[in-house]
Amino acid sequence: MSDTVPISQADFNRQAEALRREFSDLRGMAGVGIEFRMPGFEPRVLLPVPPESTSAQFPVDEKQGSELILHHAPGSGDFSTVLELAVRGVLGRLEVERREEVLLEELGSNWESLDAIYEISADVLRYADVETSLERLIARFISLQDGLHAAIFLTRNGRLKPLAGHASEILDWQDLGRMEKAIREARAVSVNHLPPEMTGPGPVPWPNAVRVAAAPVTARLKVIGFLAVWRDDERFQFDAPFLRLLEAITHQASMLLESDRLKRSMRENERWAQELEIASSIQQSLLFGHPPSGLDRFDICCFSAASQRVDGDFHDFLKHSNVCVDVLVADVMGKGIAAALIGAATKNQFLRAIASLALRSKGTAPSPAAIVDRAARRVVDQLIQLDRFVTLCYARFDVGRGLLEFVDCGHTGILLYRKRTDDTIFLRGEDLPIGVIPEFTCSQVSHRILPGDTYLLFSDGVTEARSPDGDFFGEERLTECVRNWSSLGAAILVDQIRRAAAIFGDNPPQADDFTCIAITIRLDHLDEPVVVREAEFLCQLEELEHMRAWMAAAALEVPNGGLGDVGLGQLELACTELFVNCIAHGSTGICGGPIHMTARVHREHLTVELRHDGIPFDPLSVPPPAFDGSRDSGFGTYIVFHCADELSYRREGGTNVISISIMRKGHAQE
Amino acid sequence: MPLTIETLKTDQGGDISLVVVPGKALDASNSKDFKTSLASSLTPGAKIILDLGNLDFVDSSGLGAMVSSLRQVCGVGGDLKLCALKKPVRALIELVRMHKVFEIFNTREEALAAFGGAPASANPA
Repeated sequence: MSDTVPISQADFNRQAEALRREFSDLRGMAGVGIEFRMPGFEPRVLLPVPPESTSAQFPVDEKQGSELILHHAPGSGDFSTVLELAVRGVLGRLEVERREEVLLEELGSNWESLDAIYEISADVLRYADVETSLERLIARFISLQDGLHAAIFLTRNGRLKPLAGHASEILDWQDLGRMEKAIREARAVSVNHLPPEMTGPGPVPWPNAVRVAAAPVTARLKVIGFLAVWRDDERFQFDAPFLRLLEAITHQASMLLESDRLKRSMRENERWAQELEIASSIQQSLLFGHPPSGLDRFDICCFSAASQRVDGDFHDFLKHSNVCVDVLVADVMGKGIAAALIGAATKNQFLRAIASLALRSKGTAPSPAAIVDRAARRVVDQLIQLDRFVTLCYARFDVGRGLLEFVDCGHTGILLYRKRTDDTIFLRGEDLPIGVIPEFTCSQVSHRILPGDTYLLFSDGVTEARSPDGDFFGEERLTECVRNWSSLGAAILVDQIRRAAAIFGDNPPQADDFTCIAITIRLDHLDEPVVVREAEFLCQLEELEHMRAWMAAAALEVPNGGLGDVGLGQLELACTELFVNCIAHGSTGICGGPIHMTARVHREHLTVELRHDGIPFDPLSVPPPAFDGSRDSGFGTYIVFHCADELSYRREGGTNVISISIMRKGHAQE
Repeated sequence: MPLTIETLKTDQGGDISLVVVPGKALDASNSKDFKTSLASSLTPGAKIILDLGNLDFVDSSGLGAMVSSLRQVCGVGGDLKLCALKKPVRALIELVRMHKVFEIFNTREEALAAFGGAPASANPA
């Protein structure tokens, strides 16, 4: 917005003369007259006005209020239409020429402005704090013209507070008068003839000012204040080029303020990140227990990661003996520090309940149901008050008694993969999460444990990991992972589940807390072998048949009827694949050094060790096979993983050592 | 590997090759021979029944040879069906899900019927 630019008589005459020249071709044409009018000046007749004519008005310059009056004789019909079109055409061309002229004028002065802006920008960026930078910006800006004053105002609690420059009074928006609307609408504005009430004397925004201009200071597309500049003398009008310069300087001020905000926000984020890091470390130590050592029959691995560094997942282990361990895994509804605090409090109550019950039970371990019941009663009321709940699974794995006892309070259940029968099932309880209803009760579920079993306890963040298309990772894919990788041990299984979920989700930041605990019941390797057989085979395909015959003989030595048909079939298949792999990767190529095989016959299983000099073999590096018939190779490793009940690989010098265990199948009683 | 190949007539008058895999094992030691032998007897539009009734053992190489043969047969516009699988062989094929790729029948008669040959109830096993 800008007020009317004053026009001198000479300017009016110049414009009138120019228009007269434009319409000189119409001179002498009968019945056509043209007048040029502008407020404050006598109308100028450019072509004589015919008597009894009708007229039409055409605006020439809206700012000046000037217009052209076209007179023509009545009843001239199409001729008058043509005349009006001709006048519009001429005025349109003149307007374009005028704009071009203004543009060229602005461009000329903009070179100087740009130079000034560049110099000012470079200068203000040298200062560390935003107040100094803004003061410097104002100082450099007003030095461009004599008699300039300037100030930056920012909104604070609905008022306008001076931040830098020549102002100390806090303003209200209405103090800005007619400039308020333009600034609120994020437009620059100049007033070259200030009304007396805004110039003082007295408490006015810009005392003794004659002219004032302002441009909005913005942040994230919102007006947060303005930069005002004013003069207390009549020199230099605030014209369009000056407004452009003002806008550029104000933009610079906006950038400085936004940059300062971001810096402060970054410092705050860093501080928050440090606190979160500390909280995360506390969670790791307080909420996440570690698998106990010295468990002969267990292979346990756990992994837990919070979606927000800290969360409400927690787990712990309690070792009762070398063959008996409790596992607690829980998930507090919600995320973040609040959930973690509730998790810590809940876990604390479990530890207290275990200690308290253990003291009373005089040496015998309290049952999972008793522990959960005791702990839940201590937290249920608080959870209800906080409008939170906790899902959990408390499981006891007792290999000595061959028993799994667990309480499942609305958790995800336990995924069991039973190698002996090649079955997978989800073991679930029916109890409600703690904190849903005041009267908490729980029931204990029992299930037989067998060597070779793999149990997976997990949070819903595992199965609810999402693909970019929004599909869930789901129980089916999780089951597939367990079937594929359980023979290689708990650590590899957990790692492969993490990888599979990440690949499935295309590696996005995980949306939910992710806890995964794998427990494999190992075969009884402490049991002394009944028989140990050793053999050496040439590294040749022709040896396969001999090797299998030797293997079958060893399998028959497993007490009580051998490994069984299924077990023997798996052993032959897995060892054939491993043997062929030795031939393919022998250190001396095809037909390398001999392959040493040792068969240790135990009461319930057979372990075969293959030793062969060759290039290192990483079973995890082998890509999965194609199941659609599109490839005719790549099945070998997959077959070995599935046939083996336990599989390990290590490197001794230049020797690959692969150990595979197969338990007797078809004889065990469920 | 010398394969026993018997030509059977269908009701529609077409020829079907019944291929009996000899020996008790199809593994890395003989799978290449098997593949080569079968490929040499291949004719455009060949209809083949692969009788695995003798085999007690098949490993990944043997399985790969069968998959490769299936692709070759399909490549000449023919078809290949398996029959008479023993339990360990069937377990392997199911382990790597190739039962979804091959058409498998309990007996050669059922396989023949599936080709439109001698009358038989021909429900894929």
